Amino acid sequence: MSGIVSRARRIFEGSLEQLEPIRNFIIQTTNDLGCDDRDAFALELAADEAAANAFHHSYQDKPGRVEIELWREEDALLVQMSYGGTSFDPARVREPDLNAPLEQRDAGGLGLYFMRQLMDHVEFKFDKVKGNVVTMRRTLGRGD
Amino acid sequence: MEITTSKEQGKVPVTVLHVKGNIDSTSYEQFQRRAEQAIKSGAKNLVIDLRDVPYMSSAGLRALNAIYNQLREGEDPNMVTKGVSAGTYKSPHLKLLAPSKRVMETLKMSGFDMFLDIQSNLQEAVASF
Repeated sequence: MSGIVSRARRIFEGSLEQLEPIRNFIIQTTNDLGCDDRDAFALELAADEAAANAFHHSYQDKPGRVEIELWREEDALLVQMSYGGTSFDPARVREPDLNAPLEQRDAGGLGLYFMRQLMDHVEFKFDKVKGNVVTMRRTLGRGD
Repeated sequence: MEITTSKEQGKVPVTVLHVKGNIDSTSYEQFQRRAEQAIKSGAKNLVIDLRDVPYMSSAGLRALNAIYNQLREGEDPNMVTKGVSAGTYKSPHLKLLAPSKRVMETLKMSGFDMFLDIQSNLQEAVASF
């Protein structure tokens, strides 16, 4: 297990009202892991978007369970979110056109776009046991 | 989330929505509904006071997008298209007041700062319509 400094894991049950406790968990953990404000904010927003997606799309706004694991590896921070419900296919989400005037924009797609902008790597998998597994990695001190 | 409304008089009447709390997937509908109520009641110029909004996710941007679209009635679409192409267009009816650094990040990342005028002072925001 070389390179792993520390990790934290928590389970959240319910629906969208869990977003604030999830953000608080991310802020607390990133603080404990010694991340700067920029990295902490990136993780907070990316995790919030991923969790909102889980509760809204996969659980269709019915109560569900989201497990979040956060850990640090030498120069990067990783967050993994596992949840049930219907499988999420990111390929079906159209990338937003940020140069289009607001009146021509789609309502959705920004959450996934934020996750990809803020993280170096975002991976979606569907596992028969764990269900949806989203893993996101951000190199620390990216500065953006 | 708490939202209060105030009416200000500049060159034109301006409605200010003072929002207190985070705008995320749990609260954006309340925010959007409140703005829509103001528009239905006749508000044509809106300032969203973000001074007490520590955090906004993409859900908040969806709400801003919907509010922006509702306030566009009466604008000349050709002028909008020309202004957008030239990079000079900002909504003349919807302005934001003093977003926090974190909220500004989401506005910039989504490109919303290109279409929405961002003011740092309430009086100046009201006078800018």
